[in-house]
Amino acid sequence: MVLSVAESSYIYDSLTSSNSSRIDARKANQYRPLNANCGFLPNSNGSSRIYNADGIEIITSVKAKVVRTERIADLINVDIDIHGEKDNTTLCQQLTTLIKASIMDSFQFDLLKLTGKYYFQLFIDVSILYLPEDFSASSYTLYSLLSLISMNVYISLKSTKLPFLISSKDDFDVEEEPTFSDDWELSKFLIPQDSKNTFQPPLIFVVGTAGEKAIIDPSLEEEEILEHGICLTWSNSKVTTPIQSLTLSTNNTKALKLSLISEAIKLVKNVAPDVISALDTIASQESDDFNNGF
Amino acid sequence: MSHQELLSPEGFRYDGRRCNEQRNFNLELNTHPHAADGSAICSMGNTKVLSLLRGPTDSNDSGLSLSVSIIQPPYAKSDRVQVSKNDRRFAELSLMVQRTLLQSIVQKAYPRTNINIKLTILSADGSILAACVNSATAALVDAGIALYDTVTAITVGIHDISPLIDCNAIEEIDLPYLTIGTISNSKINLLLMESKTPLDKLQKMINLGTEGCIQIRNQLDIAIRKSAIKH
Repeated sequence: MVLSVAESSYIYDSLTSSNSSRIDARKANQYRPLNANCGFLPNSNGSSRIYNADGIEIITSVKAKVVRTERIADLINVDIDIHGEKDNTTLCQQLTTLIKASIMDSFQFDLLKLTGKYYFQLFIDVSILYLPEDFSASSYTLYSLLSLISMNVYISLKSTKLPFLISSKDDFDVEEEPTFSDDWELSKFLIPQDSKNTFQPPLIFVVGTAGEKAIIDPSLEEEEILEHGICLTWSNSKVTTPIQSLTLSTNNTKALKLSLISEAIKLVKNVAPDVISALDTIASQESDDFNNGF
Repeated sequence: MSHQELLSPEGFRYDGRRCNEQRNFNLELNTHPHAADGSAICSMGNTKVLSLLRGPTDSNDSGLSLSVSIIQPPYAKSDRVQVSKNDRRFAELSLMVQRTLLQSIVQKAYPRTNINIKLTILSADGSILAACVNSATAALVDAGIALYDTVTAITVGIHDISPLIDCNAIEEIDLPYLTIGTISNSKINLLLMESKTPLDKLQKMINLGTEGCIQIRNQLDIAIRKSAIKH
């Protein structure tokens, strides 16, 4: 997206003025409308789909496999595929690493422990099926998808169900492969829904800064004038790592003021509980019929 | 899976269907109004194919150029498998879908035009080619492309002497099967068979397949009418 000098200075000035306003009349902590649903892929343990009015469409699937391993790092695999991009581009790899790092940092690995020897290995596959034309102009803008991807991963992890183990949990003495009940009604959620104190998947928020202002979920036009982008992770009701600076555009980049980081953290603390409760509602609306997803 | 279990002596298939019973067929049009000019999702049992159509747009070629691409994400099958983007099998399948659809489009109405169809196999459980054709046809209808008629497709397998309609993945592994696509109720537009079968059984399979295609066509018709009322 190319903005004229007049356009960009209008957007910048109205954002940074004392009576700050965004061009789409959103508040600083307001998201654009999103739609999401979950549990529509019959061959996956968990699945979710998120889309917005621009036509951005992201589908995530979580698949579990029984493995015998000692290496915790192998248990979570993330793969991101972007429509029109090669798999091995820096962008894809960076997004993958960020999402994977955010999950690994806070994951409660005993949820994946099946028996003494066996673990569940999770494969999280994200495919971005469609991106509007405007996105193809600059790959930097794609970093703003980070928060959408992480929301999508959140919903699918929350809706992931694992089969019920019927063989014994302690298999150190007897050589036994884990066996599962055929009845899918008995399946359990990977992340128990009722208890409050278990682990919650992390969410990544993208905050843009201009002047003294921090805004959440910057739109494409806003990204053009932003001086800096910060991504923050929210996990288990607090802001955690990875916290990273993002280049959302190359036009107007300046050095990041330290005070803006705390401003961004404040903003995320403000919106995160609402986002979490909205996503939890979606994840708990289980669809029994696989045809309902679309 | 032994050969016997695929069809019990009582005439029930592995998943409890009769020989001439299709899986649950569901077709939805205009699922992605913002992302594409025409979109549809077709599910036949656990097979789910999403098609996004972009076009008609300008092109430099003299006639109509229809490009079809099939993508299978790693999570489509029950075991996770990575399929490379230039996989030969999918390139072949997309060529077949493209040829089948080209015959049904009123080509003289689209000179110097580009139509781009992207098929994503969200979940694969047999009958992939058939589901791709059905889904792409629905997307063409949704985009308002002029068609002579709709093409619908289905697979037919053969177990000894009994033909089985709409095979799932387990049946496709062990049984010879063909994919048949028809236009205007009985004209065969697509016929693909990659395994060996005695010649005398072929007619039986084609007959059942044509019948199945008519069934699917009726369901496609209902789906089109439903989406027309909604929008």
